[in-house]
Amino acid sequence: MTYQPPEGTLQLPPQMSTIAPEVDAMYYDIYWISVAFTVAIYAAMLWFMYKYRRRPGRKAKPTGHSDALEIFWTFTPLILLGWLFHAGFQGYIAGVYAPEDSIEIRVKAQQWLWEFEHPGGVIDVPNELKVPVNQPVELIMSSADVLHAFFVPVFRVKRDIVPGMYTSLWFEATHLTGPQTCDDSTPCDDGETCYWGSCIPTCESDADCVPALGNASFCGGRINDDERICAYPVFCAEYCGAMHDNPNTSGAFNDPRGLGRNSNHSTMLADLRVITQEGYDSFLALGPPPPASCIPADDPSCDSEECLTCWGQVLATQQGCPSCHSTDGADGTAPTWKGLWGRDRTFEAGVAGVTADAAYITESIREPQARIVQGYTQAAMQPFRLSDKQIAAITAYIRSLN
Amino acid sequence: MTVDAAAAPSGGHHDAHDGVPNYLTHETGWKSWAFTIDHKRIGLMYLWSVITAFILGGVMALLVRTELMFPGETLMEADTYNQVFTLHGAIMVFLFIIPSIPAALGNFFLPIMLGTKDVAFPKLNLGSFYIYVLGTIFTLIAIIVGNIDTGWTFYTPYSVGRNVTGADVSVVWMTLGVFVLGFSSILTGVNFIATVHKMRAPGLHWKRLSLFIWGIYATSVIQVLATPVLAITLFLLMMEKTLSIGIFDPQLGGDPVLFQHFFWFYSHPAVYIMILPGMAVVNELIATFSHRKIFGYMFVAMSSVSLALLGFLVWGHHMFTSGMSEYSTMVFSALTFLVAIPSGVKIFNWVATLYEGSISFASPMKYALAFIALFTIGGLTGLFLGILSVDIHLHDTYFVVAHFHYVMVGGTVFGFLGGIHYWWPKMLGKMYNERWANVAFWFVFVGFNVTFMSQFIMGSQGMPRRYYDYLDQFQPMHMASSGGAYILGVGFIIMGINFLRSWKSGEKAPPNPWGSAGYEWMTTTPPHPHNFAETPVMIRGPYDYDLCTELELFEGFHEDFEASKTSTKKKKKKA
Amino acid sequence: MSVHEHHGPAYLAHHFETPQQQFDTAKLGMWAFLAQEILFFSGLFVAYGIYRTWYPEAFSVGSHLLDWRMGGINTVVLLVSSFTAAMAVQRAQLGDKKWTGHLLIITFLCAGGFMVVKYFEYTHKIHVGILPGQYFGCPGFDCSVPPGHHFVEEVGAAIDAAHHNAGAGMVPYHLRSFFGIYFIMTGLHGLHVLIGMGLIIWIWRKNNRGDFSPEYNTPVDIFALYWHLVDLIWIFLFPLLYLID
Ligand code: HEA
Ligand code: HEA
Ligand code: HEC
Ligand code: CUA
Ligand SMILES: [Cu+2]
Repeated sequence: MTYQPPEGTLQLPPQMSTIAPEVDAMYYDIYWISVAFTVAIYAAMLWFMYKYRRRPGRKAKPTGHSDALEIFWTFTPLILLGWLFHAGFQGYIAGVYAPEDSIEIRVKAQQWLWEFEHPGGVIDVPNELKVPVNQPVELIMSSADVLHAFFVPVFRVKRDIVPGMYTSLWFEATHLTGPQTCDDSTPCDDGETCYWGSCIPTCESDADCVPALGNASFCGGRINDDERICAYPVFCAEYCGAMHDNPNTSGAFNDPRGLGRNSNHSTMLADLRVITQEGYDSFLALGPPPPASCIPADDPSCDSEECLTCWGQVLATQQGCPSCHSTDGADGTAPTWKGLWGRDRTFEAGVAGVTADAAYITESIREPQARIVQGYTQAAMQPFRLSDKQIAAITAYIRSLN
Repeated sequence: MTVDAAAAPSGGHHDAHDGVPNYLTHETGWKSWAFTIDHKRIGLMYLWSVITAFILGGVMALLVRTELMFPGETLMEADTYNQVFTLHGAIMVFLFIIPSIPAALGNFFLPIMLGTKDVAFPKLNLGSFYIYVLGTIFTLIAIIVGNIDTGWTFYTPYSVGRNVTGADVSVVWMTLGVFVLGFSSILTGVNFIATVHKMRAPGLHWKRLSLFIWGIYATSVIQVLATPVLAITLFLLMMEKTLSIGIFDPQLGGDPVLFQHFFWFYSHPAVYIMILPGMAVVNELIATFSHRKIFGYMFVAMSSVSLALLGFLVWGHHMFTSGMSEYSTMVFSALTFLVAIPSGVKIFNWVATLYEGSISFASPMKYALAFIALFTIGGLTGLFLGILSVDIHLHDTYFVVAHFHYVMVGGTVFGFLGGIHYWWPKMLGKMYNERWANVAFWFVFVGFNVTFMSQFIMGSQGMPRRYYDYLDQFQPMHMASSGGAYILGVGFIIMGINFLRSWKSGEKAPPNPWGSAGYEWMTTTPPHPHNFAETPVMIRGPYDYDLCTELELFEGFHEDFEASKTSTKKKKKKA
Repeated sequence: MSVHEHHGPAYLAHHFETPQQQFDTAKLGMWAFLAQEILFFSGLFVAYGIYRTWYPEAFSVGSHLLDWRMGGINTVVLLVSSFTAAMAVQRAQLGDKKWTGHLLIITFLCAGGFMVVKYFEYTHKIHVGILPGQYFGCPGFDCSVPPGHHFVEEVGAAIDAAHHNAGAGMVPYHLRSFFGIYFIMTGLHGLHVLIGMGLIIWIWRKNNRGDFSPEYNTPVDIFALYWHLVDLIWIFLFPLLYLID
């Protein structure tokens, strides 16, 4: 399957949303108007500069005046300007009110990463935005700290994210960001794996595949090793600073891409993937796909215990479980996960004889307060919204700790 | 003190001048500068100060450009980069461009062009200068005590930096510095307004005022009416930072968008504080070097005033993506287009002035013509940004960066440079080397366009501003931009050396080297301590070339007739 | 300075042609300066307006924590001082050195009285801990001690008064913002009063020296302009801060 990404022009990036062509038309209108004025002004200037250059024996003519001329060039541009304003305003209003049938994605911005929560509470991995093609999407955005701004050049949308309030924005993507549909009969190209109907790049690590700030050539979006577009950038356009205090801290907060660089306003980038409606539906049902590094070639949909365990470990770290649960048998604020699988549990309420199985772990994650393990009343675990498949992965990981 | 050296760079040279006192030499010693209330000396002290600030800001700009030459770390850490561009912007705006033309050239020439002895409140004028110095000191403290990395806009809540990774205490020093600088600007404005209204020489009615004065006058009105709002905004920001009063910090129930409204209520009018003086200088240059009165004098004068007033109504165009209501965006966008009208009126009238003129291309005129060319581009790209739907895409990208450098550098800085080249002989009594001035001009002109034209392209492609690091796709354009900046830097170094040489050992300036009919050329060179030995009576306008004799234009006026013959030689060569 | 060839009376500065020109210039300059003063305060009034609309509850309670009698006395005092300042101008124009001096002193005393009342208001608030922003509830700016019973009683009473019945509500969080605005507005205004007092001393000494005459009394006139503005700002501050319900 060959995939042709839309192309941009010298001045503007590719058009990937319904409003992009309108914005660009407006851009080129003012562009050509400006060119016309500039050329006219330059031409007159150069001509006069040549014709009336100072020469011996020629004196300047005393300046006359012409009210007619003055009024002409005061008021004629006004008409043009009136029209420009009107057209620009219409284009703007079209981008303000989201259509009725939009789906809602919640955007949480913080220094310096993006988090996207899809309908049904599915939270994608940080810095990854998947949207279905040909479907209006409304983003409801909030900030945890300072101002940020959501900016997708290929969509021509931008909006500030202001702490203490919600701002919103909508768009409808018109193109896929890569060859997306796949199944057993239509496999993906090399360097990609078919996962839940979508081709996702297979790379050793996220950093290899997505040279966010690396050194591959660029054709409107980011590319994987095979020069294939796998994502377009989502920028943070409002200045949001950098870390000064301790430049050596690392970890997801400071270096979410594992690029070995400190994060700041300029690296607050997310990958935008426009995928098919089917791909998006299965994403909603199943949650975000596992990291490419966990998927073995013979198990593209990650069903094996091995793949699940690998993914479960990644997920647990991403979600912050290790801050309470140890994996080495030491009980801290929360019970350790080591040896948890299959053990009998005793609860605060006194019930005993429940075995830690898949159903119990699912409950413990989704409704931790339903049954509280005896002796663990100081720290309260918050419910986590994870898909079934993700819980299966974490369960596999816990199981592997026996 | 550097300024002291200006007084006697070449010994008795000035005084060789048949006993006519001049403001540089009639008093000597550092005290005669530090406590002077002579607007000309104060103007010169401002001139050296703003040039120093420009060099400082320019060095910061070169650091920015060097860092951005390649993606990833080139010179410095992200954290350092953020401080460097913040200081670049803040120094350039508050220490350089706002005081540049009005406080330096305006101070020097406004009273002379009005035919009066001094500004209305000379002591206040000196006071303004020292307030400027004090503000500068606070700003420098901010640089030393911490990392000021908010951008020149000080947006909250980052600048408040509470419970978030944000700016540290240096913000308090910086805003205090800018607060103080603001009062310097306000007091200069008050001074000029009173001077223009009440101190005009006999015969100098409003319709005869130099267009330079009209421009500076309009600027002063903005300075007086807009700057206090910035002052109170920054004061509230300081209070927010030190007392957590909950005005701008959303965590405490404040409104960060209110800060933006307050900030731009000043800072948009401030862009006309920056450009009007540039336009004011260009008026003088175009008239002088075309030997012709500016076409549509009254329209040009009124366009300055209307820019000053309209400028107060459009601040919201910096906030189209901020979460304002749709009605506000609509009104602000509509009003934004209105400001194109008076700007256009100026451009059209300047071009019309060239028509049937007698145009000389001496270095000051080159800057004036370049101003027209570059401001047209800068202004028209401002209209791109005024169009709502287009601004949504372009906001906070390098397109905006390119826009404002085209107007601020291509406009104001070019106007300022033109003004310095034009008035240098009058101010210091020395000529500079015209050939090298031209070489510098071409370096600056070409370098400037390379630097910022490439930024338009990467900006509309989506390159956000204030980025330390960037995607590879933008590399070629960043490279070009950095290259241009170096060319620009070379141009400034050539220009600097040329001026330094002139100052030390320049040829003595003739009284009216450019053959101008402007009032400031009617007095001796360098001017008499009281500007005119006797209060002049203005019997013609400052652009009435048809009422001047050939002799007047090329030999100078009044008592200085036989002071010098060099000017004729120079002019003949040009022609 | 050798170049000073002087003309006219001693009070005429070298760069003016006539006393009338000098007077007009000074007056215009002062008006321009007052315009900037108004814009300076207008930023505060806008902030006040916005937060009062957002947090009417806090503003109502806050206003009940201010003593309208003290504010009222100060209003009267300032009005009187404005009147005496105007009288001083008139006396100076008539060349009445003695009464110009007296009236200036009365003006000064009124201004001083104003500051004394402000002093008591401020010290009381500091003592109790009714302070701006993060210091709200910190007696004497010391946040390590809990607010004492004075604080609890006063704030409680204000809340009751704002609700017109007892035991009505909680301490509104944004009281801290109200007092931020209160202290900034009255503080900056108080600073203007202090500057005005300094000006009075300066003018009073000039008057004693006999600098003024029916021909020349610009400083008195200019000062009075300034003083009227200071008064005017208070006329707005008083009801907006003390008298809202
Ligand atoms: C000297 C300073 C200066 C000047 C003169 C201007 C002039 C103008 N500016 Fe600019 N501007 C800045 C300095 C300046 N600006 C700065 C510093 C910023 C960024 C601040 C920051 O965020 O850090 C900025 C940002 C800025 C924005 C916000 C962009 C964004 O952040 O999204 C906008 C939006 O409307 C804008 C518009 C304009 C307009 C319409 C003019 C007009 O005044 C231009 C009018 C002139 C012309 C139009 C050209 C001549 C006219 C004709 C030839 C007539 C015929 C033309 C037609 C009828 C089409 N400017
Ligand atoms: C008057 C205002 C002004 C001026 C003149 C300039 C001049 C320049 N600016 Fe600046 N700029 C701003 C105002 C200005 N700028 C503002 C307000 C911002 C926004 C900041 C923010 O986002 O907060 C900005 C931001 C800004 C950026 C964006 C940074 C970012 O967003 O990350 C860049 C990037 O290229 C840049 C570049 C330049 C360059 C190359 C010049 C060049 O024109 C500089 C040329 C000068 C020199 C090269 C110095 C030459 C002198 C010497 C070498 C010494 C000579 C020696 C003797 C005389 C003895 N500027
Ligand atoms: C704030 C600390 C905290 C975090 C973070 C946390 N937990 Fe817990 N967890 C607890 C505490 C305390 C208990 C015991 C009380 C209870 O059962 O609710 C617990 C219990 C559990 C149990 C039942 C353990 C047993 O011994 O029966 C499971 C399973 C579990 N957590 C999984 C997770 C997963 C998966 C995550 C991350 C997605 C997570 N937890 C994150 C505090 C935490
Ligand atoms: Cu977030 Cu910039
Ligand atoms: Cu603006």
